[in-house]
Amino acid sequence: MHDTCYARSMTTPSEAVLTQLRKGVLDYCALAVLADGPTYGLELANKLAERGTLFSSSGTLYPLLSRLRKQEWVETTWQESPSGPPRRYYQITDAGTQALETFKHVWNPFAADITALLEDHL
Amino acid sequence: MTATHTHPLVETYLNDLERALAGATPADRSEMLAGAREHFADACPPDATEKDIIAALNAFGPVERIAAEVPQAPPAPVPAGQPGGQLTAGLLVAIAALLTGLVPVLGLGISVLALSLVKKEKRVNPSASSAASTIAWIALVISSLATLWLILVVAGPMLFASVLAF
Repeated sequence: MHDTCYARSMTTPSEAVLTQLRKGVLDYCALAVLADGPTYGLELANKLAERGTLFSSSGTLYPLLSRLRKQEWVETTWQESPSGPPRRYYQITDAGTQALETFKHVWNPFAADITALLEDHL
Repeated sequence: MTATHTHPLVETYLNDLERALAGATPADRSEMLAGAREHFADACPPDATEKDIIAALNAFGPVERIAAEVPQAPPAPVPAGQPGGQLTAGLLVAIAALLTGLVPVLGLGISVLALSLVKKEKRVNPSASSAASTIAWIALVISSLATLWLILVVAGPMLFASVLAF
């Protein structure tokens, strides 16, 4: 028998704030990575995880990708893998690229405003 | 699904994930499980140690947290038997209302029966049975008045006679 002691859930106050902040932002972070070219699930998860705060569970990436696919911002293709079975690749669509551009225009002034506001009131 | 080896720990995790996704639509559930299976096929190569596998499972995250991100399926439609049940109650209400003018006591009995049926239906389908409930109450009031009238007609003269005799 295996002891299934994996993945215990721990929610710290910082994690709770991050969870809220990620909503509505992480979709665009995934699109930004996909803008570099088609990517498979684990590869995308690893690239996002390089930035420490973007997610705490790579499993949540898959519901996000499903959402993006339903919005037609992402499409999937199958490609041969050098090791193991074929892989599902996620690829950004024209609508996805447009959505990412809009986000970029909005994000910079938004982030600058928050940083400035926090500095003013410290 | 490609028949690749899956480590028992990964298999256990996928079973847990499937159970956690019980509230999702079949399409969302199978898409999520396929994504997870492909992820572990890449993250846990055949030469991965148990330590590597546990690390991959921990990085993937608690099944509840993942399931919370998957949309819930819309509530199930009303069971197929319900419209028939409503029809029966509605029909009884109509008969009760019809009979009140003719046979007051029978009308009262059927009104009460219709009300109890509507009450049962309300637990399953509150909105659909509210009209039937209103009709049943009206029928009950009419049949009660008719029954009272019958009692007065039958028992009234006897009562009057007994008062006179006294």
